[in-house]
Amino acid sequence: MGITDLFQDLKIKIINPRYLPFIDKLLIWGRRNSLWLLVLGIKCCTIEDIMVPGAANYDFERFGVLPRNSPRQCDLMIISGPITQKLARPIKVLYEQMAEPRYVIATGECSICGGPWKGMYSIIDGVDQIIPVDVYIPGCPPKPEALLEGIIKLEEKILKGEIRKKFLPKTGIPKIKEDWRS
Amino acid sequence: MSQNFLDHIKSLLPYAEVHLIYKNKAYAKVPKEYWIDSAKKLKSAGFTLLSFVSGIDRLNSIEVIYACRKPEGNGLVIVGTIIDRNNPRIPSLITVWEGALWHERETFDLLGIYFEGNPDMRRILLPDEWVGHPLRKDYKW
Repeated sequence: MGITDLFQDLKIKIINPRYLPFIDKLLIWGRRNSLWLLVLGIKCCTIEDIMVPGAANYDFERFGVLPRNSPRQCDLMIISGPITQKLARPIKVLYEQMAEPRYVIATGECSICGGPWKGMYSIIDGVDQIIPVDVYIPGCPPKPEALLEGIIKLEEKILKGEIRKKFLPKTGIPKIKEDWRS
Repeated sequence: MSQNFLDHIKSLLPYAEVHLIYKNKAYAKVPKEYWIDSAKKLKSAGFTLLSFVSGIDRLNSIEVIYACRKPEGNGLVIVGTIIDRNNPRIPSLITVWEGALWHERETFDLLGIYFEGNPDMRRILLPDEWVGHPLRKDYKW
């Protein structure tokens, strides 16, 4: 994931190799402080977790979280509600459109395990069945302070380099064909 | 006042069985042939706002209902008709209220009632390849 591995893979020898760890640390520091957020509101947790911390009282831009509208420019996705079978496919496509490295926060009971709709015919039991999740924030809905705590935890994870290489789960979305766009 | 309202609805829909639910809310059960006719008559009498189109699974039959409101004068009429459960077909209300499009799609999605004349009879809440209609009482998942 680091720039050292990347340069070794591409066999680039422009930079003196002893500066590479420093550049790596700089890159990780930059990633930590510029978590651009995909504006994706699913249900009521959006008000508590994207609108309120984005407003003046809590102001998550202090932590580098800047709301952007295009998934190509974003690093962070906040899942804030139950995922229906129909919504699962756009969510997966949006996740794949985001540039690496990408991080996902699941807020609220619905996105963690299905919440009050667990086991229902049209709801997926937890968003981690379709995309990998880095930080879970429980609550119904969680307070804005809890979201800020979650963002700080994610930044600590990034800084320590604990974000492992991402993978998509093998199970995929149940009951859905692959060629859904045709 | 409520008796006046009931008489008014009874004079509008002479073929219907009308019950009063509350002061100015009535339920009218019409035969299947008068489904569109009742909608046209209610709309011309001032019930211009279609609240919803829905259905009820009665296990041996299906009841389709729609509710329309009177913006001036504060009245609500719910009109229902019984149709066959195995082949649920009913003329679409889209000729009377264009806003019935999505309501009918939702009713088709969840209960499997086919509205003849609706130009866009696809599922709306569930994925297109879904099998079955979840609000039917014998639906298993």
